[in-house]
Amino acid sequence: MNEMYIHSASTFIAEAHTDTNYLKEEIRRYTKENFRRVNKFILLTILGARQCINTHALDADTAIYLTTEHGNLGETADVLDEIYEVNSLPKPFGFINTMSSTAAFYLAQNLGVRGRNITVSSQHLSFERGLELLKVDFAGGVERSALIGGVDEASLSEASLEGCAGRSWRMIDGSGWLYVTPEREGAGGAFTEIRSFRDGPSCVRWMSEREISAADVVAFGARIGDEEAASLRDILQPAAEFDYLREYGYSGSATACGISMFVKLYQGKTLLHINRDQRGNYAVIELQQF
Amino acid sequence: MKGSLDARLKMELKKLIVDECDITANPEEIGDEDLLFGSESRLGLDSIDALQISIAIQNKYNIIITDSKETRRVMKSINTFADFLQPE
Repeated sequence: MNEMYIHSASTFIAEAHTDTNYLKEEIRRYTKENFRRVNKFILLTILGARQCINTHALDADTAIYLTTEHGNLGETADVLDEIYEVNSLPKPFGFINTMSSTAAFYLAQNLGVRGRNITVSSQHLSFERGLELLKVDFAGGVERSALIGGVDEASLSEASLEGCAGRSWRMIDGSGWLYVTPEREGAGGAFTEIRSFRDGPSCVRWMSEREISAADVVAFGARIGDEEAASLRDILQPAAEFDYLREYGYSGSATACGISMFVKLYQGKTLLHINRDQRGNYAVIELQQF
Repeated sequence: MKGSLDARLKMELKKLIVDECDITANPEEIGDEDLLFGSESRLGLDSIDALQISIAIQNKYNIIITDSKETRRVMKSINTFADFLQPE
């Protein structure tokens, strides 16, 4: 695979119902810009990404790949309530922010970057799909650097867990980001695999047949049940497991948060992250920390 | 009583503008004659803010501001705004 090198990573997580004024205060640690007309999803996006970039100087053509399960859906519900429940015209601030691309737009504007600006959503595998897209864009030479992240609000995330019997975690607001380039110099780690499978057996077959040695650490996404996780552990025999959902909580973008957290916490280790969607599609991400 | 003489109404409007336009300012800091819109205004509100305020006014006072020319005239300052809502 054309490697994608990780130069910086950061995770911002907060308890459900975190006040937007608190998020604005946190953002002021990284930028003097005063954000008006924004909602919580946009603030979480800006805060997580700014935290990841911190002192990095970005090229003007840096791309932004924002992945999310729910995006601005909360704002959309409020606007629809205004129209159909209150019988009012929608207010423009809310109406503008129903567009899925506003968060990535505000972020690009704040960072002063004019590269590709994409918002990706794909039920339960949004981060994985965004990463696949970025891999293709790096391989094609379309992009030379990118910020890729996953952002979701706690209030909307609970619905994603329907059908995950017995799996309950505390809901969090999550914003996990990585600054990635195809250049190794200065990187702290790399994505060494991002692979999709149409079903579980083909995913298991691929993992069993891999010639390279097993990953040090394994992590499972929210839709991998306890039984399935146990059988995967038997196959992979990992030295450790990173149960970020239990330790830090769940948001629709838990994968992005978990992976960026791994980068911070596990120096010199490799991670194999396995996830699936409700239709039985599987995705595996492997990353190596230098 | 004309709106511009009604301190309670004017404070209500200032609070509404601060809340609706997501401004980091204290309502008390907005002067009754301060320009609300444009580059010379301290608040620097624009046409999207005007639309936001006019819908909030419609919801709260059931008063519709019909066109953009009228909006500019009505929302010139807190005093003009208050007089529009409460002419006498």
